[in-house]
Amino acid sequence: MTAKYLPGLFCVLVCLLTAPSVQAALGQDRASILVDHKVMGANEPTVSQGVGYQIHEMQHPSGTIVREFVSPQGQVFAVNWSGRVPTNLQQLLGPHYEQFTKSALVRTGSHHMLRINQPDLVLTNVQYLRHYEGQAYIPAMVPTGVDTSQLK
Amino acid sequence: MRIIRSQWLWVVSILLVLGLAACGGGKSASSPTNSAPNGSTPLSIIMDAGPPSLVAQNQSAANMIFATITICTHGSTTACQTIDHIQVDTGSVGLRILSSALNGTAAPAAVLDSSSNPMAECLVFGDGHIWGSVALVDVNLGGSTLSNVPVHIIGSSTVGADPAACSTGNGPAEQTLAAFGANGILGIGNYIQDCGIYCALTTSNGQYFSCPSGTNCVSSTASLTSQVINPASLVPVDHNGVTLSFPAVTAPGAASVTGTLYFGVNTETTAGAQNNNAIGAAKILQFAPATATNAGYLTATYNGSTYSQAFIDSGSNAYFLPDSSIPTCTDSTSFYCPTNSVTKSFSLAGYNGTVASGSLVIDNADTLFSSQVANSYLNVFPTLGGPSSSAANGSSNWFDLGVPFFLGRKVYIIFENATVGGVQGPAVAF
Repeated sequence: MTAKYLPGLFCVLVCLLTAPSVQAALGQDRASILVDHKVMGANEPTVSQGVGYQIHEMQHPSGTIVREFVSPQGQVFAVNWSGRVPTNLQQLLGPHYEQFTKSALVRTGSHHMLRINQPDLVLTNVQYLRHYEGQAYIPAMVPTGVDTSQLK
Repeated sequence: MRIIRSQWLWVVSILLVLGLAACGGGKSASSPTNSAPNGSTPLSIIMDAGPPSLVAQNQSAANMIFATITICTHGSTTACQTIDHIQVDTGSVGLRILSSALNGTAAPAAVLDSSSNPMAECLVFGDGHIWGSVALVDVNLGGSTLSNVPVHIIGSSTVGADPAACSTGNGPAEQTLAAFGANGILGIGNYIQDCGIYCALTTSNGQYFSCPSGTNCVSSTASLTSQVINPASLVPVDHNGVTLSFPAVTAPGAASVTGTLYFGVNTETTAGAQNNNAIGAAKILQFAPATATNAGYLTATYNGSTYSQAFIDSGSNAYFLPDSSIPTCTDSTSFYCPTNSVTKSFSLAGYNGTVASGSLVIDNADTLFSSQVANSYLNVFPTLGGPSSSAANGSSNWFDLGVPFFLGRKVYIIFENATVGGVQGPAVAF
């Protein structure tokens, strides 16, 4: 390799390394799922077909499962998580993470059951003993005819 | 929920862990120093407006259960501090105290790992996380002094700020009284350690940390004896679980109500005994095992549907249910606001096949929060409910019987490895 290619290679490396903070999953395109899987150290996502969407499922080394739901337009419109260990919600929620943390600071009397219901983010996060589970979606991105309660 | 893979590896490793627990982990909890003559002494618990400094800022508690706990420097009967408004939580495990609530009288001693580095913990809740040192104190509980109990000191300066492995992606830090809502939390859920085997085996567990030079904490294994422990499992007798008892409260509610935390389940059944935790005709419901799709949960039947993630939790301040027939409040979408009082029946099934039934009432939360009884605003709401999910039609698998469920009955929390009425814990009964 000659020196003239190094700046380009450097850029590729930097872009790969810095991409996660700006290109996370919820609300992003399908390609961002691979970034999530790398950042979280999860296994290769498996893809299955739901009615009106694709499900990309990956598993943390801890066993925690993350599922990302992709619309026919190629956007991740919903995510859910479930397992023994909490998942990285900053990575999973991307730009919506700040909204989550801001809402979570409003005390409602329960550390175990958080529900956020805003026009651009609907999120439920449940922690009970050694279990962490939750789901989030962006209402405007949910494909027509898809029942969000069935995103499991 | 899926099971954790490579379970065979875990099983193979358990003996190794027990070995580590026996020889590593620095200081560890030891046997209590004295025992109560007629069973453990029950703990008075209360639902009231909460920590006075929050009340002064118009942030009164709603349906939160509190205890007052005394901790001491190990071995001392005078270097002690009594701390009020510690939340009583069956949905977590271990005693955690805000460092800002400590006045310096009782001196926690660092728990050291096998390299003599102080240990710290990152505990993640549903609404954020707490970070701080793991430390040993003596805890007065059940009429006994529990010696060298590993507890979590939230926001302790001795281990520095929460590292990225704790602060990233786990929601906001809840290190202050205003954010946490109590001076601490007394986790008396069904497990003995807060993390257990997983943190004893897995270095990058994200929960326990080793802190060389006090700060620069890195994720680390924690032996079972160095993990934050369920204090109710350490009382000398009656340590197979806990029994929570509250009188019934009439809607709309009360400013306060006092209840009792009895130690043990069905271990003291003599009439008139100070710690009577007899189970009587209560149904015992076993949690689903790790191999089940709903590991750690019960199954609920409600409105003709089945919900696979059902639980009873004193740390949830309402009935949180999937019920699209009840409108949520316009102000607080966390709660239900039916026009008229709603009465529903439900049943809970344990993995052991036992089914227990009950009924619940949900009233308009906006009306409840503005109600007064005897010229006082209320802090105890027996009919407070809310959706268990934010999803459009309120549908979810979660069915959470929170604090209102604890009023007017006894709820029995049976610890892991304990057997009551032929059912092995973790289990609950009511």
